[in-house]
Amino acid sequence: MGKSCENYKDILIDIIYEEKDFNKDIKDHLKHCDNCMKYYKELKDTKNRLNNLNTEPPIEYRKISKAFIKADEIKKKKSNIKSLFVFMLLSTIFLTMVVTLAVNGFSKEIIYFQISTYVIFPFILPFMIKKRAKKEGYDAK
Amino acid sequence: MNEEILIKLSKRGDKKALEKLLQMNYSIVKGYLIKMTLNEEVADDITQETMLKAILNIKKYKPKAKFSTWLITIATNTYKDQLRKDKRLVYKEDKDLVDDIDVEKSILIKSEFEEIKEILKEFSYEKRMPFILKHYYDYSYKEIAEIMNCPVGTVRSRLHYCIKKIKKHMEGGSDIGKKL
Repeated sequence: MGKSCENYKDILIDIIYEEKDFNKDIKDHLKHCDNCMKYYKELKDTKNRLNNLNTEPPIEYRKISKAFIKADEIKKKKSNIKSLFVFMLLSTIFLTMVVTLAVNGFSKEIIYFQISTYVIFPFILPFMIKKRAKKEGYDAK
Repeated sequence: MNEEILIKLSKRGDKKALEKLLQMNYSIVKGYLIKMTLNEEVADDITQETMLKAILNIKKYKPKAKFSTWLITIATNTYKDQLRKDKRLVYKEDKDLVDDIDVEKSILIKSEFEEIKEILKEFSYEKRMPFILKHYYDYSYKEIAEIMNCPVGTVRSRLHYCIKKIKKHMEGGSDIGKKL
């Protein structure tokens, strides 16, 4: 069974949008069918008229820069949440270790460890602040 | 610098390259959203959101599709999300797009522009989308199907539906105004 005009009309839409080739079969049909030829011409006319909506808005450089600033803020927020999560995890592990050691009779060693930490901490604090300041992107002074 | 190099640099974290890439594609994304939403204010917001998502997710971009296609996919999904959140967006209409885009257009073109706008407004976004992507951006049915996440046959039938309705309307035998 051959194609009906309705089939050809559908194919013509695909042709004007370059999804199908303008093959011999369709060319032959258009030669003999005034109705489909008229439809084809109307389709092309409709396509041309629709191009009036094809506008090109200007590039808004400021808005693109704003998007970068906002993205940085979001990334920073995410990073802070990640840091908090890591801190909480490490604290929990550390606390569990301390409690386990205390229960198993290592209280003395824990106290020695605490004392040495209090002594060492003031010396390493400036380095930690400096590192953080560098990470945050401003001068520690 | 061509797009391929800019993409490589952007994926490595080069902000300047990504900024240049977004500038190169800004008009395409905004133009697409203006046609999709038919409202410049809404198009502006979604363009901004699209740029932000592109910056945050540039490392996830796979260069098998064009960069503009990736941005249009993000814009499409963002628009769908906005529609889900606020269904009133479909009907929001507050500005004269013709005046904003080109004040010097002739009255004839302006009235035709308005006519096209009115026709497009009547289509649901699912039907409007394949038409806009095909007609104005020359995407293939396959690419549109990927952007919209639907079968190629659906894209084709929706496009055909729109073209037939628009053609009928332009010839004066309109049934636009009924729910399309």
